[in-house]
Amino acid sequence: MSVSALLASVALAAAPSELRWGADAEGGAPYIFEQPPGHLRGFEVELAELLARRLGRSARHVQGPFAELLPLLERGDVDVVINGIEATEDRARAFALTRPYWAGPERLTVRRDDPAAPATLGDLRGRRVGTLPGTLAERMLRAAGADVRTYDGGQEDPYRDLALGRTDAVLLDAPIALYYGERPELTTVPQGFGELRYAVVARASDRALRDALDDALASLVQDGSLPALLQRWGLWTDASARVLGVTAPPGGPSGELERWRARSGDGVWAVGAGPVLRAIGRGAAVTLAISVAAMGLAVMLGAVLALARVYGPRPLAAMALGYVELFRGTPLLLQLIVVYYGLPELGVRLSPWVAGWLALGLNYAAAEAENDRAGLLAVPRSQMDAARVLGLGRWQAVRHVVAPQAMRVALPPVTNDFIALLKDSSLVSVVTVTELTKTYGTLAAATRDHLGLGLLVGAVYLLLGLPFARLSRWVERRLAAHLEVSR
Amino acid sequence: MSALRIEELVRRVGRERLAVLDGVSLEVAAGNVAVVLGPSGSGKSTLLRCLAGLEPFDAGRVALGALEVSPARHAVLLGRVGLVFQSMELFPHLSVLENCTLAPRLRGEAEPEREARAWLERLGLADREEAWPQSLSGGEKQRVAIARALSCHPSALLWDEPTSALDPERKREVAAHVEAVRSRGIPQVVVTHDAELSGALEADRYRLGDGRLTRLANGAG
Repeated sequence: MSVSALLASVALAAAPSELRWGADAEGGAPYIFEQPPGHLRGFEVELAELLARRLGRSARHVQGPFAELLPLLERGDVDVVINGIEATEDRARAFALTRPYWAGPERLTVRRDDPAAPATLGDLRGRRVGTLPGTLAERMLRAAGADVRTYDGGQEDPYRDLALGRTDAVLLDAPIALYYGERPELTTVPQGFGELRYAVVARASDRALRDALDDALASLVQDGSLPALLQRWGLWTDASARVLGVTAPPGGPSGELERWRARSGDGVWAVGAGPVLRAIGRGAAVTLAISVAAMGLAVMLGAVLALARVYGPRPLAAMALGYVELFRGTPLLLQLIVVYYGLPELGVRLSPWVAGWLALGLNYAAAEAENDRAGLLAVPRSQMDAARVLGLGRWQAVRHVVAPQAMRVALPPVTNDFIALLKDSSLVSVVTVTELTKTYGTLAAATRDHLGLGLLVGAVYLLLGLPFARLSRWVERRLAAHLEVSR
Repeated sequence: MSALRIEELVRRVGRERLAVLDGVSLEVAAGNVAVVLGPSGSGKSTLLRCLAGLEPFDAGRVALGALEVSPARHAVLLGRVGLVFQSMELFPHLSVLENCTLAPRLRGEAEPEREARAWLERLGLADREEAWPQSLSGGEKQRVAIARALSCHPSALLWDEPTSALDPERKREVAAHVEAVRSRGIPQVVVTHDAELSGALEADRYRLGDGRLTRLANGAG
């Protein structure tokens, strides 16, 4: 599985007839979401397809976490990012931005039953206000002196917390307020605040692509297909009319928005069990594959490190100790990001699978090395002496006498570590590998069923870990057979 | 069969370079037994470890028949001199037979089981081949340790306090084991503070003290 994914990502880098566009499907409606699971929908999905067609290419979506989309672009994993990226002056300096494809205000959402609900930016001073990090809304809230709470988990979370009374208001882009802020207990202040514009982002070095996209956008405005697209998703705004230079509003029903409204509250099973279970099965397979592969690397490298520490010459032992301290003492997430986004600066470009496997494996090797070392040290030195007196070489003695005994001590923690690794593997979603937790996030954003899906996915993690716990008990029993008194 | 000869062996340890062995000389002819007595801390274990190749020595010479070993090459002794440890040190993860065949097998001997089985049988362990060391009595463990050492065809056999880990009624059997090995013409050194064992053996007796070995008159010790 990992090999084919690897080959696929290599092949993809070479295909010039594609427009690879990055977006985070966990972000949700109306930008990009899965409905039914495995099927991408959203106004940016349609926009990407329209743009690609104008360029004579085919659109290919690349999944990446929202916070890492621009690094993915710099890395060359995608040609453009289309995911509600705000056109700011800072970004215009670092990237090649197209003309805007949407413009509109930030919207303030509050609780209906809150007598002190804020209604203007001025009211927000000192109040707890939720938003998404790095947005225009966040900057406006900071300027207004609000007590800002930012959410990384998706667009639904700020509104959930508001409904629960954990915050007093939510300020977010109009499309998000429209799709996630409409709950019975919430209301959105009619007046909008500020103006933000979404643009397609290309690499600064890729101005030719940007210019071609600008032309494509202009023609999509001219033939009315972009205004019609925004109208269908209920996203047509006065500001969009102004920045797109459209005088006559497109008119017509907002079919996609109505569909979303009709579906919300249906829960995850409304689309049928099949697609949901298939998506979760795919995520589970990815989680299991990358965890097993990473554990294999960790166990092998860990054994080498432990042997180097216990039996190696002093410089080698010191290097092994340095390795253990470095990888044990720094966060796995940092290591993963450095391997995937940092190493390309040195000319090392790893595929997402290889980067995820390597980072997990290198990190857990440090833990395995410590387990194995404890095991080696638990075997009395006199066992080594006895082996040497019989004429075994040093490595023969380690291999045939010390290591087999050390294994019995080292094995139980290894199982523990594997289950920990299974859970930590959710971090590989930051390098665009869609595993089980990311699958959960994406499904939950589209279906708004966090609890039911959460329980289901939790159960899948348990099921993945249990066979290994059993396997380890079996191996432990086998390794301990010699301690039973009769044979 | 060859003799074991030790000439002016010196072993210094620690920062002070204290001489634990300060010119130890000893000759044990093929088929002979030397008993080394002495209080704990007198360097008996160090002497055995040097002779087995586990520890280096600083000066002197160890000779196994025609093979002369100088201080720099002490590791040459590994695999040539058998040592029956005080704590036996059987390999707990291997069966009795596997304990005996591991080293010959790794050395590439054609039929490692043959010699091992012969010794196990001679020592009354024929029916314990498949047992785990954990399931053996103290006396059985020692016999496995002896069979394991002899399966490697050692040029000499060393015993470190062979009676200390045994029940009183088993202690008497040790002398018989030493005699069994003597019949193969292998020189042996038995380190002990067990006067009864010492008395039961037909052997030259020595006392180790102040880093030197003194020969005792027959009947003493």
